[in-house]
Amino acid sequence: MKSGEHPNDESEFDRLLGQARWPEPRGEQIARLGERWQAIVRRRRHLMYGALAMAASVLVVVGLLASRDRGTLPATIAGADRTADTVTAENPAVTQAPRSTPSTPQVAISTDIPSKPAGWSVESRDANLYERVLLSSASSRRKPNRQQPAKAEPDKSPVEELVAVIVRDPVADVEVRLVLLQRDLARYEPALWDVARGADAERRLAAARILSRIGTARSLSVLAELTNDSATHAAAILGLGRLAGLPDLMRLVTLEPDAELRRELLRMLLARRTEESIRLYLDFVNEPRFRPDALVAAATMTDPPVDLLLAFLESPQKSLRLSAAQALGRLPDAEIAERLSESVLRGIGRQEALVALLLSPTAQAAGFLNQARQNLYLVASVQAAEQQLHALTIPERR
Amino acid sequence: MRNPASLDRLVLDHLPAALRFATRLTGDPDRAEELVQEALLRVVRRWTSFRGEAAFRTWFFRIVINVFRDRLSVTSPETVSVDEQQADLVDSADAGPAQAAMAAELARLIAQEVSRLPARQREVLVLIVYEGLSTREVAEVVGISEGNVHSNLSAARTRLKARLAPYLGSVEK
Repeated sequence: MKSGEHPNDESEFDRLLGQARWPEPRGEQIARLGERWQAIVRRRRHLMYGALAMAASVLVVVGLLASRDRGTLPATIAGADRTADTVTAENPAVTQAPRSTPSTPQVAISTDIPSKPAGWSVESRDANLYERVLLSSASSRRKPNRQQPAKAEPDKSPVEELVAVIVRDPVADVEVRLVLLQRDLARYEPALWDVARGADAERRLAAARILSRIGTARSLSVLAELTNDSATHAAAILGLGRLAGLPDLMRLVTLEPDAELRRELLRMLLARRTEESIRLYLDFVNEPRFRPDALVAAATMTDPPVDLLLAFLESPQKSLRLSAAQALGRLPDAEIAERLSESVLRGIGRQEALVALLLSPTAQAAGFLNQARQNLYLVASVQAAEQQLHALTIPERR
Repeated sequence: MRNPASLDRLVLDHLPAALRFATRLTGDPDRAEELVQEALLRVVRRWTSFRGEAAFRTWFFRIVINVFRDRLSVTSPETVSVDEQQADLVDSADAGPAQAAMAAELARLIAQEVSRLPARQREVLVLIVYEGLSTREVAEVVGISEGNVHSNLSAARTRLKARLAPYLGSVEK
């Protein structure tokens, strides 16, 4: 194997190892870590600023001490330590008043500006440490000149950052950012609406995707607007599907022209996992126009509501029982086939469970049906189920 | 790459991957979370040593591995004897409900067995098989030579084949 080559392809055994399943990180775990990270960064920043402030203070003190030693302290500070005598001695222009009131020496300052020594200039002396600190502090606090437009600072708000990440890489993993944004959504949701209504199509789509994932009911009207835009239609429909009540979700399914989106909406209906939502889903299965999409939606769902669907095998309504059987039969899961077999053996919704097994693509179902056809007690039920399945598929064939 | 804002973005983007990686190393999501938390502290302390965005994932994983090793040296490592593990596997294989359930169980058991490998072998195997790193990258992350990467990988495979043998037989049937 060459250096840098990936050895995974060479090993059949590695492919088997690839089947290993660890628990997936939970959303709250990622959110906790994201918040922890931000807290670490904040604390670090505060420490840094504290250290800078302390360093500046030390510089000031050191500068003051150095100036005092050299006698170059500015007059305002140095004056406190100087007597009237030293002032007079250093500057002949300053004349001291008679010492009639010794407790409060009166200093009379001449208005004549003392002449500058020859060769004097502004650059004649380097600024001392203290002056440099003062100068740098003043320059950092200087307000921007209003005549010149200030440099446009990029907006670093979480919304802008997230939109930028999605625009840059539409398949980027933004789970952490979404969770963090969701924590303070009341603050940021209006900013998302602004972006969603903006002129830039890529940013609009990014905002639609974010709102689709985490938007609240307050975003319903914006999402409804976005359905009119072909670029944002899919994201907006999925957002509406997530937020809508069951009747509205049904309407979305019936109105949606795109098959893949319809299936996604049907998966959302199944994912609600309530008796009512499953009943509505089964109505779609019962409706020939929507049946193919409804069955594909269940079959391609990561975690279909198997228990609820199995419960409908015992429904008093025949149409619901048969719809549940069709949905269960399309699930390519051997464990479900096992449970359907148990239902047949226990006589719970036997006919419909057999229909589901007849539809099941699993080897377990085929094996069970082979055995059932050779069983005197079950063979008639299997034949009846086959006839029922045949009757069910006639409308589809038409 | 000394801009704190870039670091912030990189960490947030790679956090889920780091957590998944830590879960694979420890076999326990809660321990993985603690491990990544400590890794984040080290990321802040050492981010000035990071050069270039391309290698961030590798750099971050290296820190996670260092924390993982430090924790192993402090806490008692999971020392489950081979005999004990084999017994567990054989028992559960015999008591397996059905072929289908076995496949799902196998996925869980492989994960469990990988997380029981000796630390170095586990690191190498997880990085190569599950994180898709090349041997050169693994050598860099783990801090060993490429030859050593190969020998650790080979040892890990041999060990796993032995431990999973009862299950592999039953699945093939």
